Parts: sequence; C-alpha cells; structure tokens
Amino acid sequence: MKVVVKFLATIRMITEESSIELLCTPQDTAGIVMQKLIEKFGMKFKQAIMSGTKLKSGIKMIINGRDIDYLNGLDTQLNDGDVIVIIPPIAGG
Amino acid sequence: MMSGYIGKILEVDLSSGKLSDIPLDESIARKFLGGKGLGLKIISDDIKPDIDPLGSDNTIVFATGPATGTTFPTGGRYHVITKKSPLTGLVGSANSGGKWGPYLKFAGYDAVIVKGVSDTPVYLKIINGKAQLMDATHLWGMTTFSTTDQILEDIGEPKASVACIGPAGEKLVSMACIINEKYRAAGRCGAGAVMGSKNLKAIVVYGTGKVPIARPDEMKERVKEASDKIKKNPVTSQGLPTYGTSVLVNIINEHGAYPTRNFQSGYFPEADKQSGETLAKTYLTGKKACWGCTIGCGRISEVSSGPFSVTKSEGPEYETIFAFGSDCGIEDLDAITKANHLSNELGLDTISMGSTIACAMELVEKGLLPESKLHGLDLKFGNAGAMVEAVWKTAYNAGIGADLALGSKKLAEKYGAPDLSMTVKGLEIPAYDPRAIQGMGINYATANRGGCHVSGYMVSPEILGLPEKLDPDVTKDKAQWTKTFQDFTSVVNSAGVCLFNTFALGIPDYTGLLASITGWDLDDTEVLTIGERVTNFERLLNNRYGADEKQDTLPKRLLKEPMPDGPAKGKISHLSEMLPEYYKLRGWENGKPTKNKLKELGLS
Repeated sequence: MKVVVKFLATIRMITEESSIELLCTPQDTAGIVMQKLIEKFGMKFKQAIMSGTKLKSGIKMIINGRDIDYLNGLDTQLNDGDVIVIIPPIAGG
Repeated sequence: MMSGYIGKILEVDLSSGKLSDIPLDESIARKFLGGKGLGLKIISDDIKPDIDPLGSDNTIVFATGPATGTTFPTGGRYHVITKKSPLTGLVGSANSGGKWGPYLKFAGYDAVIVKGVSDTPVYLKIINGKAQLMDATHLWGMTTFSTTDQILEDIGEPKASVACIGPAGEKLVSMACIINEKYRAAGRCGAGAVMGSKNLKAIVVYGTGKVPIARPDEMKERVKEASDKIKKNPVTSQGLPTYGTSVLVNIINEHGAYPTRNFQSGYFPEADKQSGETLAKTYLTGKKACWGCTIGCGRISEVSSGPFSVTKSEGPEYETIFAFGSDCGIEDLDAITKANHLSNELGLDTISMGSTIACAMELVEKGLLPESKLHGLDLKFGNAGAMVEAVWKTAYNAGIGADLALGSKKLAEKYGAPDLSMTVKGLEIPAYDPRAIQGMGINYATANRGGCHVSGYMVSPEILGLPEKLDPDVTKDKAQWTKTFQDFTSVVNSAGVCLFNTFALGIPDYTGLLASITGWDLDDTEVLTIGERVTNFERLLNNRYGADEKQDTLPKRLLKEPMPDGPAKGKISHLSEMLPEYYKLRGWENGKPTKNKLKELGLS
C-alpha cells in the first residue's frame, strides 16, 4: 500500500521536496514511516524532527487532518492512501 | 507627568474646523490602558442607537497605547475606533502597524479624535506638536499610494507617516479601510468609509519627541528578557520571519479548515500553489518589519510578468490569500497578489472584499444573481480575471461593484439568500472554518466586532499547539480558553503592541513591561482585568445599539451543513455546546454583561 507524506515550511527546506509517496505494509505505523523518512532524508531531517524516540517539541505529525496525539501517537496504524503531514513550529494570523 | 503617555489628545471638529488639545486623565489611562480601550472610552459618552455611521454624528478615534513608540518589542501599533461601523452597525474596531502609531506620539499626541464633517476635502497634519487642517482638494480621487507620495512632497518631510483613504473610502464603500505607509491597513469594519464621509483624506504625522519611561533601567532589563524569548521561540524567530503569515495556507488546509468557494468546503486541493512556501520561492523579493519589531513578518513581493504583473508590493498575507484565493476558488497567486495590491491602493479590506466576491460567486452559481446585474463580469468561482476586476468595480461603485460595496450580508439579503453570507454581525469571517476548529466557532460568534479571528485566536492552541495543544474537535474548556484569549487580546490592542509577540510572551511579560513603562504598581490580575474590562465595555456599547445574544451565532452553513469533503469531512460547529458556558464565565445574560459584572469591572 501507499501513503503520501507532505512536508511544510522549514522542513521542506531540508527535504527539498513538498511531498513524496511511500510504499508501506499494512503493519506499518507512523513511527515506521518516520524511520523510513530519516533513512531517506538523513541526519539533518532527524535532528529537526526527533528528540530520541519521540517527536521533537513543537513538531506536529497529522494523519488525514488529525494530530497523531489524538490518535495513537507514533504507534498509529496506517491505511492505504493516508495523507501524513509533518509540520514544524509555525504561526501566523 | 505621566509615563508611557504624552498626556495629550487632539480633538478635531471638522464641521467648525476647530482643533483642541485635551489632557489625558491618568485614571482613565490606568482603567482602559490606551489603544482600543481608550478609543472605546472616548466614543462612549454620547452613543445614540440611530446615528448614521456615515453622518456627522459619527466619531473616529486613532489611539496609541502606553507601549506604542517604546522599546516594548513590537510597539508599533495603533487602534482605530469608530462610534458606528457602516459595515456592522455596531462599534467599529481596527488595528494597524507600520510606524504611524509611534510617530503620532513622537509628534505630541496619544490619540486623535475626529468629529463632524468638513465641507471640502481636508487632511490633518500633525508635526512636532503643531496640528493643522490642510486642503486636500488636489488629493481627492487619488489612490493611497499617490496620496502618500503627494502629502510627503507637500509637507517636505519624507520621513513622515501618512494614514489615508483611497477611492473606496471616498465612495463610502462599506469595507473601505485606512492604509498607512501604503501597505499597512487598519482594515476591518469600514473605518475608511467613515473618513470618506467626513471628507478627511489623510492624517500625516511626524515628530522628534520621545515617550517618557518611568523606570528606564528596569525597562531595559525587561526588554532584553522579552527580546530573548522572541529570539528563542521558533515561531517568532524562524517561522514568521522566513515565511510570513502565509505559511498557514498549507497547515490550515491540511486540517480541512481552509475556507473554499464561500465556505462550501474546507479543503482546497491547489492550496500549495498559493502557500507561504510558494510565495517565498517564487514571489518574494525582500522582507520588512514594522517599527520596533524584531520578528519582521512583512513580505515584499512582485509578479514579474503576465496579466497580473505588480512591480513592487507587500504581502499578500494569509487572510488575503484565502479571501481572494480559495474562497473564490482561485489558485493563481499572481491574481491574488494583484488583488491584494489593488486593495491597498484603493483602500479596501481584503478579507471583507474577497469574502463578498466569494458570496457573489455563489449567488451566481445558484442562479440568484442574474447576468443582467453583472454587466458582462463573469463572476464564476475560479475566474481570476473577474475577481480582480470586481475589486476595481467595488472601489468605484461601478456596475455590480455597487452591490459588492454593500458587503456580503447586505448583498446576500438583496438577492434573497441571507444564509450565503459568511458573516457574523455583518463582518466577513476570516480564513478558518470553525467546523474544523471548534474554539474558533465560539470566538467568531462572540467577538464584539463580528467575524474576527484575532479577537481570540483559538487557532493557536487548537492547530499550532501554542501555548499548549488542544484538540480542535473537542468543545470542552473552549469557552474558558476563548474568554482568556479575548481578554488578553484586548490588553495587547490597548497596550499598542502586536499580537504576534504573544507567541513568545505571556501576561507576566506584559505586566512587567507595562509597569516599568508607566511606573504603576501593576500585577497580572490587574492587567488581565483591564482586558476583561475593555472586552465588556465594547460589548456594553454594542448592547446600546441593540445587540444581544441573537447576534452571537454563526452562519447556518457552519452549524448545519457537515463539511462535505477533505480532512474535516462530516464535521459541523458545535457552538451550542460552548455558548452557555461562555456566557456563564463572562457573567453575561442574553449576551449582555449583568449589573454585577459591570460593577465588578468598574463600568456601572
């Protein structure tokens, strides 16, 4: 199955891509997707996103519009076609 | 001598041409702080429900706060209050940055009150304590850009700041705004039309005075602490300086809250083409900060070629991109930038303008606005050329523009479909669909000036996770959060600083800074009470115009029609779950502060 991962703002500067498609297995979780992204985009990406095994403070990961904090965190199971968005600390108004 | 204030207000009676200096009473300053609070206090004395917002009885106040023109980070703001808004029929309220506010204080005044109507076009010149009414016949008809350049040339002081109206204000367009330094807007509630109705084209200010500070050494320390917090905060040190406000386009869209085609959807598939990321990559030529700001969210942009070319512009801001973009079904950032630039030149509030065009587009889509009224303008969702043309037509009341100039509420009513107006209290709702962010629903419904995002910016905790994360789908505790945000925002707007510093600073920072500026023995409770007082006072004045709980609601679409698609599919606003608790927390009955609440706040 496939999921789409989108990168916003300063994270996009690191990935140099606005979005990618990732092949996943039905057992994959948000955390496994994150590992795949770290493998693809390297240490700079990891340092911007992760603090140990958790998301860094202020970094948001949403799946189909819902923050993973209100799902099952990095253990959230993924489904085919899910849209994952990784968001750094930003604001406006 | 008062610290933080000049201690003097200029009153201008345009009917008689008389200019008077009025001393600022310190007890009023401590009770209402300045800016918004002071403006409300000034207009409160003789409110009559039936005054004509475009008649001689209306009053317009330009007010700074104690922090305006000081080193309080982002202390570059001023507030505009009109006794009655031509758009909402309630008290009108707008806020702007740039350098006009500080320059008014350096010129010798905390505030300017304008009453009456001039027989002929005039502008007001305030330079180093000397105020004069000047002939503006030669400026009438000019855009805000030409007006600004001409006044600076006429007075021979290129460093001065001009706040003025464009053709839209002169033509009494209900969403006409006031523009200072060409690109900063006191945007909302139609204050530009009030200036136009008074034949007042502009106010130019300049001075070399200083704002007295009660405890300068302490102030220096507190400014350093606050500046460090702004520098360390990723939002104020990276997000806003790098991308400006338009960074929100993608994040709000991905939450399904990005209003699309007059709020018929909350998801715009082409949003990335108009995002802050795209703007930074393709359109940005520079960045800009208001006076005294270290954040610097302003964008300098250009559209280098094509039918919507703009050689040099500022913005567009997030709200503007939604209004001329997704809300009109338009993806073309060239066209959005052009419409934004035109709105600045013509003096139009971009949120109300874009939302009103979107309303017209839905009326056309549903066959309610006949072709015969459009005079050849093809107002279909997605038609970028027609959208830009509609901005022109509105400013000059030309063709369908005369209907658009009414604002979306009166437009939708005129064509028999009031539910298609996405307004609260007659003010067009900004760029967040409350079906996807429950707290924004209670904020929009209860904000005193109407559909306003900045009165209580619940997007901050619910989407951005600041100062802490709240679930946007949940209604619990949102009333309390909204009340606190609204009261804090009243402090911000009365102090004369920018709301964006609150991403890094909290009430204790404000208390310390305001205490060192004014010398008053303030604590956090007193500061928040000032905010609560200002919020309640504005509500009280609106009650005098007949406003009550019936106006504290949302458009039917947002309450009844589940979001049809996107990440927020199936959701509606659960306003009724939050409103009773909000009133209880406020101490209001039927949308009105009770006698006990007014007594508690010293307003009875």
